[in-house]
Amino acid sequence: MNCEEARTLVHAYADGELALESALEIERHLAECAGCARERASLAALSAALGDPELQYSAPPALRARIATAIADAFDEGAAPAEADRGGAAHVRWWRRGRRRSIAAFGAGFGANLGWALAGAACALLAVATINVNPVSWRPFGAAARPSASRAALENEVLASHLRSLMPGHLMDVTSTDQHTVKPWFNGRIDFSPPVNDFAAEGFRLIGGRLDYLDGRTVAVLIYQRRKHIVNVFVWPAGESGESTIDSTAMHGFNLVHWRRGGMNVWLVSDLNANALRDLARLLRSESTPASIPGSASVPPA
Amino acid sequence: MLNRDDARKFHESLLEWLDDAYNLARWLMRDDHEAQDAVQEAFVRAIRFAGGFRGGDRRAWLLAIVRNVCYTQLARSRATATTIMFDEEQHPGANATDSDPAAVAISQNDRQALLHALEALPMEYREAIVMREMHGLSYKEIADAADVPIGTVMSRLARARDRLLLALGGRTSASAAEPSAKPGDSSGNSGKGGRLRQVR
Repeated sequence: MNCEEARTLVHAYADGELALESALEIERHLAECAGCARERASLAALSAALGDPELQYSAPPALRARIATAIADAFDEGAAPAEADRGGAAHVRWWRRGRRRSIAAFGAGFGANLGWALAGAACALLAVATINVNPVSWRPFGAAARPSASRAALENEVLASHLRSLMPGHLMDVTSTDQHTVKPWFNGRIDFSPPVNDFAAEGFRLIGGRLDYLDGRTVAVLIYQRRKHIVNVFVWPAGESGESTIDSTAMHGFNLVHWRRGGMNVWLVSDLNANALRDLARLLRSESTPASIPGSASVPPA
Repeated sequence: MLNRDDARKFHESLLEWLDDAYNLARWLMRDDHEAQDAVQEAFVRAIRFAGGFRGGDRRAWLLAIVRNVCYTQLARSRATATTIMFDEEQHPGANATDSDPAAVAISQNDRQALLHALEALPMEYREAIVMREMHGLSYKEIADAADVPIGTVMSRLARARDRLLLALGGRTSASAAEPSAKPGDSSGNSGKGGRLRQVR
């Protein structure tokens, strides 16, 4: 084998795509030819550099959530496409950023089901966006067909709220890593005082807070960050007394954790892995003191 | 057609490769929003055509769909004319093979240069190199996805690598800039296909 041949085949050799006989031939050549051996080494170095995880993009959490929800809903709601039809096409166009062809072009079979599911998801997200206008009529992800106020419905609400918070400009009303700024911010806006603690030392940085609407009422939300992962912590007064242990579920690739203690309902939701989320849950739960019992403030809801 | 449970499992398994799908789309579109659109569209198509999946590597199948959606989207937008019409004969790859051995070890500092060089590659080269180096697709899988002969995949990979090495070597070694003497060989299978290992 001469150098010209070798330089052509060295790529396929480096890629493991050469037939055995040619591979042996080129190996013999590489053993004798320093120039071609250097080329082989360059290719290996380039390969290693291109394999650097820093050069790889990961799917944004919001995209993952949209697709996971769409897939799940394609099956959950596939039986009722007619219901999703109402106003669906317009919403889907919004969802697809108004640049794609109409939903009708999706065709039959699962594509159609997915299309309707996307319409449903878009409706739900739009409904979330207009929540302040008409909060009572809203049920996320087509939950109207399910038992109201059930555990599953609440989980859906928590997840929908988390997804909405990840959209640009929706995450925080007050941006601060200082618990002494975030905690007073809630005063006068809600009729209870959520426990606010920073756990930066434990790897969970408090980055801000906001108000949201869950389970038929205004709730406090604390936002924590661990590396690139956002954790939403929803807190509101529990209607009943008593305590529950930390309870985890997974939905559409997100982890949800819930407990009740010190008169407060607490829900955590994140794309963080279940163990890390439970670590934060334990920290938060140990900090929930009797001082934050509902009704301690008498300010009306904002 | 798959039955309902199989279809659901199949679709959920597609999610495992969402990062792959997004990475490929992101490198092809060079824009986050465009990439997200492409991935969404690709998943809609993947689910629609799930019944047409006939074995082989599902990830490669999904990535081929992503690639095709990206091309369709680009064809709709402005930049395409120049990208699609790119003529490999007119752009012979530079030959970096005589570069200084010091350039062989690619440092962290060169990552930025590599990133820019990769983004600057013509689309055809970029897709081949990303599919091969980041997603580990075989020549056959890349050829199927791009609908070109395996020989073309080989020459695109070779040219892409020459350019990337030149971009990197150009920083550390002046000798890397030596012009290429390599003749254009983009004519497809110029006989070397016979040396490749048998694929199916």
